[in-house]
Amino acid sequence: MKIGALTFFFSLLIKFTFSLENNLMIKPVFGTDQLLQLDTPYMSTNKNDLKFKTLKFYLSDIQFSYHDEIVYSDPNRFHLIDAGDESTLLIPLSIRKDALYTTLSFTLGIDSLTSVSGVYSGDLDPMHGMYWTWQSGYINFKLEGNCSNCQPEGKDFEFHLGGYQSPFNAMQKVSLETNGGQIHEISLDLRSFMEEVDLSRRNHIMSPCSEAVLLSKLLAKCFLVRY
Amino acid sequence: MKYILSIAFILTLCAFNAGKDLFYIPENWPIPNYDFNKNELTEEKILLGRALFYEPKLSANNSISCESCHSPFSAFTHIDHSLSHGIHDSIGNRNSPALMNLAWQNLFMWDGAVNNLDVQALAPISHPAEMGSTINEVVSKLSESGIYPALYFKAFNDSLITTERTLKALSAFLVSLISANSKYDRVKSGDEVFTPQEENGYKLFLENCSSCHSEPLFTTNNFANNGLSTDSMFQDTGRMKITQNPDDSLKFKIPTLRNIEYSFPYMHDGRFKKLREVINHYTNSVVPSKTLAPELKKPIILSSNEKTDLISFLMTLSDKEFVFNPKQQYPKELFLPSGDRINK
Repeated sequence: MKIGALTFFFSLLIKFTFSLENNLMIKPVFGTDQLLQLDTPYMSTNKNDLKFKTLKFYLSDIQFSYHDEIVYSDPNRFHLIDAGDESTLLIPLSIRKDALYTTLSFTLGIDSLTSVSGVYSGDLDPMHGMYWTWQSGYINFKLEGNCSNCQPEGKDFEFHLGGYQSPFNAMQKVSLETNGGQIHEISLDLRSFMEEVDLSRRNHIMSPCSEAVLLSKLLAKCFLVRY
Repeated sequence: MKYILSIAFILTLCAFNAGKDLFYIPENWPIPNYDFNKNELTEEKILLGRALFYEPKLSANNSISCESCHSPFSAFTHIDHSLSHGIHDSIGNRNSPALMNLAWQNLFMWDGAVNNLDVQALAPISHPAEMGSTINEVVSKLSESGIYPALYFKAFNDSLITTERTLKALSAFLVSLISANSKYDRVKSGDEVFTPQEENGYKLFLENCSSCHSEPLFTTNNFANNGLSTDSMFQDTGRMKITQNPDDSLKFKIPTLRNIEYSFPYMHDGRFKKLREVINHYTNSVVPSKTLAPELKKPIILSSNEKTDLISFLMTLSDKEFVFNPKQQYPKELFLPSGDRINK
């Protein structure tokens, strides 16, 4: 009886300490800690009144490393994050809770090999509207909305950023230092992104181009880790 | 590794002659580009793909199927239409290409916009001037249809209709469209001989055409500017639209010459109705430009008789068995008895 109780106690302890479940929250935000809401007015640093209608992007190949050594690679390679569907914001990982790591890395977008390898199901299914049909390739990042005080008034913007072929390969590798802490959340701050976008100059990008690459590079800098 | 597995799969198909019905590599042909490991061919999958190919539910108002622009009797192109028309009689801006030997192609569409056969059908399904639909709408319509859940079950062991299964079934049918039984092929295998006129035409072909339309596929699968004058309405720059590289301006996919007798009109915009017009273009009307194919920089000189001989050789590339193959035609046995057809 005693042995049984001890075994039970130790198994609980092990489960608690070395639990494999560790969800990672991907949190789009706008300047604050609060989860960004679609169809809600936000004011940018440039005093643009913005509303976002769609925010979707691919986050791929999540990896945790301790200095140069890979501690964990997410076996589920591709995640479609959709601000309109909260269930997509939580990525289940089976990394040990006590795992030590210094870097969390991932890619924003879909790699070129996957882009030329035909059709897939799941998050890569073209039915999610993240695949260009007139030209092969995934849309890595889709942001649509409008700016009520931009000229002309009520201007819509659509950024479909993608492209897998050189020189317009838009996929970005993002590496975030973790300072030894346990990470449960990555935020993507759209305020920082919209600061850099001049809507009066260009408000539609719908195909691979140098500007799509440039904006993708900007986006890569808008990710932050939270503990 | 992938390459070795593909070869292994194909060799297995070759070893069992029964597989020839599904797919085979004609003698002296290269290894196909299509990755059969990701889409194993079965008779059931090909049949499903064939049903989908002839299925008007793929278009928004159930009026247009793939066959509308790719009919078997014209080697799967839109016969006598310079520009293909789609839903609501909209006119596209390109001539629909003939479909055959697609397992050996690597890029699709006149400008190579599509990089894999498995995603090719997404383009016409979604194009507003072609089928005007979306893959989501197609999947949902097929799921509600009487015949498809059963056909998907036979092909995939599961009746669930998905994007991936729909597109892979279409690919299975498309790669099964092999044309390799023309007179030319029978001459090469020693079963027939060219007439003296065809023989001379073949010689002229080798001298003037074969660097781009290379045997045995009669294409290098590359893109080239063949010196057509630019259409002032479309200003179609071809491959450059995709790569945005000025070196690709006015380059279009080099089409196969197989079944050319059946697949008129010719060129990406279907501007020539007759083979003679095509040959006259190469001898008389090539427009010089920066990106012109180097092979065309020196004028091609052919006498009127030589042109006739060349055409008689091109006719030997016709594969009657291919264009009249009942296994590739409208699967009436599937559609007609069930009553679940076009207008559901």
